[in-house]
Amino acid sequence: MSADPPADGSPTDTGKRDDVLVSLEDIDVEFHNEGGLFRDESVVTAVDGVSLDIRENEVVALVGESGCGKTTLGKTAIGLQRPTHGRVTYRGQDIWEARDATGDLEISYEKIRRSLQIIHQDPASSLNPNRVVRTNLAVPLKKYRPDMSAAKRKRAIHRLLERLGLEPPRDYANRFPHELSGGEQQRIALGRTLLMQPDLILADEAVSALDVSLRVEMMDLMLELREMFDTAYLFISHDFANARYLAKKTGGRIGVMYLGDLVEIGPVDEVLENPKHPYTRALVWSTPSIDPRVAADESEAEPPVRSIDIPDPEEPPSGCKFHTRCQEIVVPDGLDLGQSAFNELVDLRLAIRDRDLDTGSVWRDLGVDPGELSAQKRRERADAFVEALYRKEFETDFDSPHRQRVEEALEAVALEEWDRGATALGEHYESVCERDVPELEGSHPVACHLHDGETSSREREAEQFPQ
Amino acid sequence: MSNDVRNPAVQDTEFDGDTVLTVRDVDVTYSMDRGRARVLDDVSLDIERGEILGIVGESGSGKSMFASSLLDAVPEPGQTTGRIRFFPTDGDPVEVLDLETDELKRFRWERVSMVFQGAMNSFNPTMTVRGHFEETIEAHDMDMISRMRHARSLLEDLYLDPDRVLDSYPHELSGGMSQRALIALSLVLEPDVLVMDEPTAALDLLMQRSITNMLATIRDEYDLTILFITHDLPLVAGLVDRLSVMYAFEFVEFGPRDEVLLDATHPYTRSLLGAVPSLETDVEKMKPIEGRSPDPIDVPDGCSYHPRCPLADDQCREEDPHYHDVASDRRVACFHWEDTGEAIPYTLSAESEEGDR
Repeated sequence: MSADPPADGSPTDTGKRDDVLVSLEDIDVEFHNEGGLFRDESVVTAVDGVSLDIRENEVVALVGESGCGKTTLGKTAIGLQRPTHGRVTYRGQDIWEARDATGDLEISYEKIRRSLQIIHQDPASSLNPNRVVRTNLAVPLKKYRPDMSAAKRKRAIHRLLERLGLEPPRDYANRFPHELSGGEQQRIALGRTLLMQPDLILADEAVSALDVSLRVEMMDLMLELREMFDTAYLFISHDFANARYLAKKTGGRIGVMYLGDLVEIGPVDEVLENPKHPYTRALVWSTPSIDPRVAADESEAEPPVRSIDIPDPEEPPSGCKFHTRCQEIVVPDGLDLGQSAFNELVDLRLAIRDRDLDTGSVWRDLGVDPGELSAQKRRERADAFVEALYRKEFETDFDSPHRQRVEEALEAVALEEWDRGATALGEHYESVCERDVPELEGSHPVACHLHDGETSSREREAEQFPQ
Repeated sequence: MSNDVRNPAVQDTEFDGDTVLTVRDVDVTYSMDRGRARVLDDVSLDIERGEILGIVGESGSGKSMFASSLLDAVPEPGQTTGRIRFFPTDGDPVEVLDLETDELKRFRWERVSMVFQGAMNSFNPTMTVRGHFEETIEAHDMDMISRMRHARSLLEDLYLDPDRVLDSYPHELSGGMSQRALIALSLVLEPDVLVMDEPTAALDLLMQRSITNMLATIRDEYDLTILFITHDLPLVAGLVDRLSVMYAFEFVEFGPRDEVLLDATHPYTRSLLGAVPSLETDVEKMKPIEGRSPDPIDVPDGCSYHPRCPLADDQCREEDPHYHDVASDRRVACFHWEDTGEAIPYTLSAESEEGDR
């Protein structure tokens, strides 16, 4: 078994590096929710304007929390998910044009599908439970190497099992998937994928379900096979430790996704040792250290985010989507407020905007039944309400003019005039992070307003001396 | 100083106030067509009041069976034998394995309570979170008003908005929220001991980490003893006071956290520490553990780790190693524990050279 020779017709010159294997250009993927008895119709933007090139033989690890779109982006990269907008190309050939047989066809859709493969978190899902391992592995061989004799096929399968570390191969070939451990099933799934001689494997949380003690073994196997077959990997993981291991051993890149955006990407050491995006820093913080001298220091700390819960992806925040959790939200020019004071103000304003303040308990503490509040009563007790809510919400003791503005907003809340409260604060305290979507830019690209205007010298040169 | 100690965990002294649970010679067995499966093999351990004890082992090593046995909740038709004794701060010791059904019911929430992974499976989907709290409080004849007040403060400690969460149905909460709500529910009757079996598996890292960091606070605030059971060693490295490592249905090594992690003595622990990905470890020095862990009906004779151990000799193949005292508070079940440092080197971070004794 050897790696596929490069595709015949070389890709047309697209102005890109010529070792780009798969290119994603400005991809959006939207999912439409039909709605139902208890749900309104809705649209979730799983991937929101992401561009990414994966080079031949490269390892790219995508990391992010659930719902960040990493799996959807991965499936788009291998042609399993059609983008709502944007272009996916394999060696220059538009995958969906090949699929729909429109446009110029340089590489057939069948060839593309075969070249781009996936291994799942649950390996059993890609194996037929009613067939022994040998039969499972024979399927791709029969399909793609119809010329192979049965005896040759059997030998190829046994050789593969040996390479997968499943010995004696004769024994493993005759087992059913349920007679294998999770780690062994994952090896077979990986082997089955490799029989198709792919150029890129999407490994979607492929080691997450394994015990930590078995992960290095599985990742080593993936890397060994990459050496043999020159395969590139797009490795999807919620875990930086695994992503780091694979990327570091191959000089690969790590990309961080948040609510459909690629917010930072770069060489593994750059991203992990010098993370630029506050979200990347939060993920690095959350990756536990096994060294107790490091781990114990961190175990007391509060998480470096304003909220540990992820916003509803159906209603993503405006501007930089991380602004509702970011501890470093940009303080508007000219405001004489420290970061933590400003963070408190932003939290209050967002809570008022979303009507997400627990006013009931404040009224109850004042001896007022919130169910029997008349407009009259609200006005009468507004001052006491403002004071109580202020004490409850703020650690900072604001000076004028902030204090007056906050009290005004809280008074609006007392009178149930939420929108007035939110607007009054918004006038003075809106951050660029809420307003503008940050661009992914720089030599180690990051999409964050803290890094606005930081362009690398190389890029500046390129701007000065356009080709 | 390699004293052989017949009775492993600690001397079986009378209750001295510092021990909340003592586990002695506990076996769990299942009769199967293929033979008898011993999924917990003569296990003994003391759990100190107020500690966070990490129990680490791979899936299928028996760690969940150990957790279940503490509440006499081993799934049918498993047979639990041995002795598990609970020491309340007020009153006489309780023999857990001798409790009657209704006593056990009370014991399980009021003395020792348990949180599993995947809160969704523990909640009834047709009942609000408030309903779950009220039902639990009522079933134990506790005062509703003061308990619900306690529930609200627990939820707040776990960074949840009590009103919002209590009025929600389980499916309306994210995985992280419902898992925290479940932790609050498990604490509402103020148990002495909280047993958590992979409580943060399937959650995002930031949520996992936030929850483990909260546990230390909760332990202090509510005078809890916590057992945290996981395969994910790094997850508990910063959290626990002591670590107990499980391999093939028994504890092979236990002791204070720093000593076990920085200078492990059992070959399995050392190999495990050299095989776990983290952000600091030198990737070139990491090595997977050779071989596979055993099937419960076919555990190797002698030391159960011997087929995978580079130090194994005839003694290891024939004799089951007893515990050796590494220090007064550390034990290891290995004949060659004094030689493992040289034979199985590992490093936890890129620069330093610890782990070489």
